[in-house]
Order: sequence, then C-alpha cells, then structure tokens
Amino acid sequence: MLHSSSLSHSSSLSHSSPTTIRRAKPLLGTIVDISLFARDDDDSSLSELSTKCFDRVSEIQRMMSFFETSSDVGRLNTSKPLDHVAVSPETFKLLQLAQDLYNNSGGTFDVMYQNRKEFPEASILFHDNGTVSRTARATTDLGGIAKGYAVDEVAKLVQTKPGVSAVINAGGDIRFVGEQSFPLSIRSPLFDGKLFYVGSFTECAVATSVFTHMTSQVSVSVFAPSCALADSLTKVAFRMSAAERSNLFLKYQARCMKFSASRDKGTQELVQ
Amino acid sequence: MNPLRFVTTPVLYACLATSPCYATDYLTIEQAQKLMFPSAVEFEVAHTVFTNQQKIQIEASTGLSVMNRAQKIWRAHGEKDEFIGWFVVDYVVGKHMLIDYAIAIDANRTVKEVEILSYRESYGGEIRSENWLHQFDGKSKDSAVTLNRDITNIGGATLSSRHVTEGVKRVLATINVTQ
Repeated sequence: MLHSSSLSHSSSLSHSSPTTIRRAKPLLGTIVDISLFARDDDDSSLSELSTKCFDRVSEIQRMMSFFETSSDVGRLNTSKPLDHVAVSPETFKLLQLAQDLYNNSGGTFDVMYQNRKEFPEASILFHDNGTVSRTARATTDLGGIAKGYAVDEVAKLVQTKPGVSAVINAGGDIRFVGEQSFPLSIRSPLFDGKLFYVGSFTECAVATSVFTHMTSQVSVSVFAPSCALADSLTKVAFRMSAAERSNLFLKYQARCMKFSASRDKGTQELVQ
Repeated sequence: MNPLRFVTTPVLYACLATSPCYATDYLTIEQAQKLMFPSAVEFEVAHTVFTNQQKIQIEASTGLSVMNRAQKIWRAHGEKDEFIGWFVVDYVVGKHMLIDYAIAIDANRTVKEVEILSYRESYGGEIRSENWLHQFDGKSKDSAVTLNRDITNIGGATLSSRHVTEGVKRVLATINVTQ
C-alpha cells in the first residue's frame, strides 16, 4: 500500500521551516488525513482552510455515500428503473466518468458490479435536464472512484491558496499539491511490510489498492492526472494484463506499478 | 501563538519512513478542544469510572462490548458559564494498534465532530506471522479474488475507521448512561 512518509511536528524553530497543520477524520469509510503547509507564517488561515477541506469531504460523502439512503446514490438505488432522479451536477459528472471507464475498459471497471450477473445490460441514462435513470434494478456503488474524487476536490480548494502545499490521503488515494515536494513509498504486501521508496514528487496523484487471493496478494498503484482516475484504474490494472490495458492507460495518461507476493512460494516481486 | 502551529523538521521524515512502527500525532487534547468547541472558555474535568450496571446498560444499548470502564470526559462551558457540550477522549484498536480520537457531543446529545488525535501503526511481526495471514483464508471461496473490503488490509484503513465509528456509538451511549 502506498503512503507518504510520516510527517513529524517539532517545536524547534527553524528559519526556513513552513507552518503545518495536520488533521485526520473518519470519513468516506476510511481515515482521511490532510496535511497543509504554508510558505508564509499565516497559521490562522491555514486552520480555516483545513476545516474547509474536511467540510468538502463531508459534503461529498453526503452526496455519494452508498449507505445513506438520502444521498444521490442512495436515491438512485431505490428508484424505479427509468425514473428520472435529480442528482447534484457533481454526481452527474462522476457517474458519466464511471460510465466512460466502464465502456473503455470493456466492463472491467464497473460501478454496478454488485448485480452485473443478474443485469448484464444495466446502465445509467443521462438526461439533458441533469437527472439520471437506471435501466434496471442494478445497484450503483461509487466506492471505487468517489474517494479519489474527494481527494481531487480537496486539492482544488488547496490550489486556491497561493503558497500552500498539501498531502491529502484518503485510505491510500493520495495527492501532493503545491510547489513543495514530498517523498512517496510503497509498502510491499508481505515481508514485514517493508517500504519501497518510489521517489520524491510534486503535484502528483496516485492510488493504491490491495487485492488478496487465498495465498497471495497484489498491491497495485496507479499514477494518473487525477485521483478519481487513479482510484478507478487500480481495479482495471489488477484485472487486465499490461498488453490489454495499454491503450486505455495511454488514453488516460496513467501509469501503473504492481507488487505481487505469494505466501506459498515465499516470494514477492515488483511485477511492472 | 496558535495552538495548531507546528514547525516541521524534514530530517525526521526520512527516519520515520523507514521505521517498522510509527505513530502519527495529529492534535493534542488542548488543540482538539479549541478546534471542536471554539466558543468554550472552560473545560471542566468530569472523568468517569462507571459501575458494572452502567457497563451492562451501555453494552445492551449498543451491542458493543465495553473494554474499559473509565472514560475521559470534559464538560465545555461558554463565556456565561453555560454548558455547551461534552468533549470525550477515547481509543479503539485499529488494524493492530490503538487509535486515540476525540468526540465533541453537543448539549442536545448529538455527535458534532470527531477528530483523530493519534494513529499508531505497526508493520512487523504481525504481518509475517501465519496467524495474521490466516484471516484471508476462506474469504475468497465464492469469488476468485476479494477486493479488500471486509478484511484487515495492510495499508488501508477500512477496518480501523469502522472501529472508530463503533467507538463513537459506544461513547455516546456512555454519555447518556453516566451524565
């Protein structure tokens, strides 16, 4: 699994050290961790920005939660097939991106995976008035893309403040924002969870998912222009071979790294 | 000085990145109090050790087991000494180690906010041990592969966040039973 190196707070003052606020809250079914770094010594606005960032994540949770029946997704999932459901413009756009990914990945990335066997042809219809419909009683779950989307939205908020850099991490969906660079390591699936240093990055979006089989594990990390893409493409990268996904990854400007570990063989390797 | 102000030391990043176990400290109790109850001028200590009867009541109303019969509670008061809510510090076991977190409950007994204070994580012996790996057995019988949704995954925080959610439910019941 991927994570940024731990950031530490120290009371020792140093001339060039930036001001930092680091907070974490349980949101989106994971722990969302946001670190903000200000170049200038202005910590009151940094504290305000931090609160705004978490408010934005809560807002996305209210819109896209699978578990809240009042969310856009919740209402879509309880609607009758072909009924028009009013959703926020953001949910509309993200559902469209999910549909594009479904079509472009030959059905590998699928927000209707829960009932796909039952409803092989199910899809979402997008109407001009901003409403959506489902064509069958298949359930939509944005769990594989919404966390990445939330990270992107927090990044947008941070970008409105010049001189502020950030590390945003929602359960392995990570973005580095601003001019500061941050170290990035991948935790290998087995063997003491050793960290592999990947490099130092600025303005980077990367997501990691861990897939487990009976005796083996694969950790897949995808770098992409946005975290929503990176998040969703980890599932595609796991299921498709490098040759199968090459066009898709070229289209979305994504790159992938896989760690594979086997308990039986006692091996682990960086696959690609 | 703003209590949320820290100065980072880049050298420490590198040390902690290679450590086999680390703790991430987010906020101190005082910082969380100011952030969660900005209008409070006083936090009155009201730490509680509850009776066996109260423990049974909390367990019955939540369906969760109570491991610790003590709870760190502060009563927040505003400028006119009015009571504005409870500030509670609690901990739950995350993936392997403890997560400390703070909960703000308003005077109407509604959860206002949750902040993680400290998150400890270890990736050493537990990951290599056979016992730890056995959790995966039998999880993939129906599907060839299980996306780590219902098991302890190595890097993700799915399970620990669920435990925090349960902890919040237990703390709210504790306030209702003891305060």
